[in-house]
Amino acid sequence: MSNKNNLVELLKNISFLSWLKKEDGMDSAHWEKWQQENEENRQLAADAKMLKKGIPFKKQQVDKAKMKASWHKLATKLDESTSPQATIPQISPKSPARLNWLKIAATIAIIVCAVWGITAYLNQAELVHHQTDFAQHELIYLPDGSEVVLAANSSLSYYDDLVEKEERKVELIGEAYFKVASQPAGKQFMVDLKDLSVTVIGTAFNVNSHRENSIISLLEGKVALNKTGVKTEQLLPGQTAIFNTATAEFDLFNNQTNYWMDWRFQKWSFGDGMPMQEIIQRIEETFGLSVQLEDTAILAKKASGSIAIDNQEVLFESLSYLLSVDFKLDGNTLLISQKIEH
Amino acid sequence: MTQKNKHLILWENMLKGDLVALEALYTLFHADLYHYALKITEQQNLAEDAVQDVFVDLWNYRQKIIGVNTPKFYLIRSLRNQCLKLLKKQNRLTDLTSANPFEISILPEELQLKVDNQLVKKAIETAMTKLSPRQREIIYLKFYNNLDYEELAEILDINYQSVVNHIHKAMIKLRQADVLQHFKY
Repeated sequence: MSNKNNLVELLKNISFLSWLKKEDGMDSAHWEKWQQENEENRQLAADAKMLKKGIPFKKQQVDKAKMKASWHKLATKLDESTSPQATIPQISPKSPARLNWLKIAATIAIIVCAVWGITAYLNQAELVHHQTDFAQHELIYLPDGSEVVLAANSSLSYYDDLVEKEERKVELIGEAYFKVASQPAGKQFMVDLKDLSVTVIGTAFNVNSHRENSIISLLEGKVALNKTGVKTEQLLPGQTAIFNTATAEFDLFNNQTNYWMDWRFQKWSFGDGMPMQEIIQRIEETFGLSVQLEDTAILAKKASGSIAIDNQEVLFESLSYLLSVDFKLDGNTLLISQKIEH
Repeated sequence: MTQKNKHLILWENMLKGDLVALEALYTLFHADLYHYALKITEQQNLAEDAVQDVFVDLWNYRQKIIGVNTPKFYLIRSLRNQCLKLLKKQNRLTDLTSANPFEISILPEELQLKVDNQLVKKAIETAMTKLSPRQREIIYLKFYNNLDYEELAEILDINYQSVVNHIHKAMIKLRQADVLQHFKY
């Protein structure tokens, strides 16, 4: 890949952009290390920084009186032009006194409307909704300063008056990585899942609720997992909890955070060996495909190492080599078969 | 409420025929739009007319407008087309076939500088004139109006990669001319 293509890709990479924005942003350790790997990376980072900074323009001061005059000039043009929805009251020219009175009434009404209108615009607590498509990520900055990377085929909702609430609650369907800003006293950040809620104490963690059993991995800080009225479990950094819906129990694992969280770097880390079942599940979640196996013996295969996932075609090619299987895409169905040896 | 959400709520209410929302949008964006129109046309009256035309059309054709996520981006794109139309009427376009049939200047007085020094300003002015007209327009739109790369690609009818490349080349030229150090961020 040429240097320029790399720059184009980097400027789309939300984890990288977050690191550029604040030197201590999420995943900073990963990008610091990447930068020191070689001269090319160092140069790329410097150029990307230069592009993000750009050149600083002075902003024009707005002259309010001129602005108002300019709007009035426009308003007259609107009345003259035929606007299909505008309802201009027709007043008979017979009684001038009545006309004057109507004018005053209309002016008052418009002022009242304007004041009410603008206040209403500012006071509504709006539901903010983010939805990602298959094979797409989105970086979301929450009003309290927290950052969220929303994984493919997932949605995040919250009310925009979040910061004023005691429970700063967001609702997640699917998977996301959270870097939660430290909360002032008396405020709590919470993530609601379908059957669990995660209470946060200044932290970076990953939640996957695509599946029947929700998976929560903690990178730093502290989180408490609450199953309403049933269970509470504290997670320590480096731990992953899988909530078993059937038994209402949490299973805890250590040293699996890369395994569960590296998707945000556009890669999957397989750890000591990722079972075929897990790989299939991820392909289905990330690309919206339905996987069919030609031979159930394929389920016994495992992958190790790590693999780039930003290009579906390249991913299948690498997996094909790694697992010695063949992929055949037919519409939304992915057929996996044993590799035929020549 | 985030800025972006506020703009969208105003936009949707305007589309439904709310004149108060139109006034709020006009008040919010007039300064930036006029600034851009003046850069393209270099005539105050024509710039003001172009901005007003955009809003008159917006109001008259609002029932036909769909799928706008960023009001400011929509307005800037309409404004650029309107300016070209008005300049064409005056026969003032240099070359109609060129992608940038007008010149955009970026003056040191418009930038935030660490020092107020004639030599520094002269160096910046020279460096800016050495950029291509297209490079100047892109860095102006990007850094004055804070549009993202996809939006720039659509306004200028070029692909995403070209936008990044134009900005990259422009910034490298400015770095080579050693003027970046004078900017106050």
